[in-house]
Amino acid sequence: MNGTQDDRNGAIIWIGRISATIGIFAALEALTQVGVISAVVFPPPSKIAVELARLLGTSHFWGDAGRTLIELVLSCVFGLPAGVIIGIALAASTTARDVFEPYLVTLYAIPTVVFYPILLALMGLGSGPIIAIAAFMVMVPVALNTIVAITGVSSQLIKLSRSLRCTPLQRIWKIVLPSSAPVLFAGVKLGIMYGIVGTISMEFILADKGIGFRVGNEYNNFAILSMWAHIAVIVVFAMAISAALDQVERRLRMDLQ
Amino acid sequence: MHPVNNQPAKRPLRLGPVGSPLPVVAIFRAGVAILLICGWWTASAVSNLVPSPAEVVADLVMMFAKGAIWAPMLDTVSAVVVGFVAAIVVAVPLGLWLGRTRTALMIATPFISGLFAVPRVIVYPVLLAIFGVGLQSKGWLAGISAFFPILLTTIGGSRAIPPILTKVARSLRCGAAQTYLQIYLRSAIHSILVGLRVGASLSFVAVIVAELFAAQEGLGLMVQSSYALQKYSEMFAIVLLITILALLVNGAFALVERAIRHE
Repeated sequence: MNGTQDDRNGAIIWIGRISATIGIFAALEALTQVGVISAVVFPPPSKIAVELARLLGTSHFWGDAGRTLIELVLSCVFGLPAGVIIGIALAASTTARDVFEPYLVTLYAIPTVVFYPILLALMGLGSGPIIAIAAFMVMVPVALNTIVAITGVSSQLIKLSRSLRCTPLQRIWKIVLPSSAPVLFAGVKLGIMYGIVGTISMEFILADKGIGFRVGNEYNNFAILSMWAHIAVIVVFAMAISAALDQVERRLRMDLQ
Repeated sequence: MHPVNNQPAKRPLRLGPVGSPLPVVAIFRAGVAILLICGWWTASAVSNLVPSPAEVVADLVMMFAKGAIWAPMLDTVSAVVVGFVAAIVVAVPLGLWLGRTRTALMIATPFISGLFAVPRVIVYPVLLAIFGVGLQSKGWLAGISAFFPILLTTIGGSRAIPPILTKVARSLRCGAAQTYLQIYLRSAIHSILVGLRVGASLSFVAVIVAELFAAQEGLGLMVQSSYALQKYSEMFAIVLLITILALLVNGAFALVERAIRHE
């Protein structure tokens, strides 16, 4: 494919994306203004935007946002290294991997969230149980991807590290981690996404503060407009983080090629 | 041009022995399970918040014997099944088509991967406002939750169809329906199955979380109410049941995946 055709395709794609975005918002605005979609359920996007602008000026909102952000960051601070370390440990031994991997895969399948009442009893209402469960949800995909990433490192590289007499730490730090970076990062990305899902869902069911809590709380207060504004914040935040992580991942893959 | 890789990471060839796990591994695995149960037992002896495994299993058996568990279980499971099936019907054809249509895929990708990142459960209050508390809003939530993983893996599978197959389809003058059913669907089936397994478990989790928030019936609601009544052993029994159900569903999908791979 030559350059000009590539550029033209790129232009078509961007025009498509932008017009799809505008089209969706225009359609929603029209349908809600005319009353096809009940404004009680779904206020027009323009009103949500106005409400959002008002919300951004309140200290109340930033208190919620700060709480959610701290919980998310802490769950990643605990979950990401734990996942990588568990992954490295299991990748190092075939027996350990065969023994523990089914358990790890199982943890993926079960709804960890239902364990919240136990944590609630142990840690009390607050950020504790939320961070614990979200960190756990971060850890599992990171550990599984780390195993795949590290066992996928070419055996020639390992041989090279041996003939260079690397220490085990050097082997991990200088050879294994850089060459497994793209797959490893795919796990980290998945982990962070799970962290967002975990934090928001946990807040939704049990918190006393936070954006996820506020969505449920505003629903219970019949403050539908404010509920939608908070949903919009979560949607934009999650999409932005996912786009940023995609960008990093793309760069990592390009480095390798 | 660098194609975006939507496919799940492939498992590399194992260096160790292939085939059935060694007896040592089986013994160790069983050992881990026994250790976990011992840990639970110790915790129940130390803390009065944690009931013992025996109590919990007895409670679970009682619930089945009395029949009180069937209606909530059926409610939760039927919401998951309805949403899950609806998600398959929409996501699989859409994913196959997007995987074969480059421009449409490039336009849609940021929307799909962005929305996949949004915690689905926050739309539950909206669904409650539309449908009210009940099976319908839970079913919709299950559908929305299962939709994105199924769509993403189907797109991945559809993009990875070997070009030779599409050429064969063309030279055999297959119609659109034939090409999609006989060529695309069959060749992408492995990826689709991975999506189905993930989608099933995500929709189950979403329904349970939704029930913890607001429901008339369901297993999540039972966890909530037994917690509120401080019936901890009953609560643990339902958590155990939810875990078992999740494992059964996951195991069933894993079996189907394996059967199709060996075909």
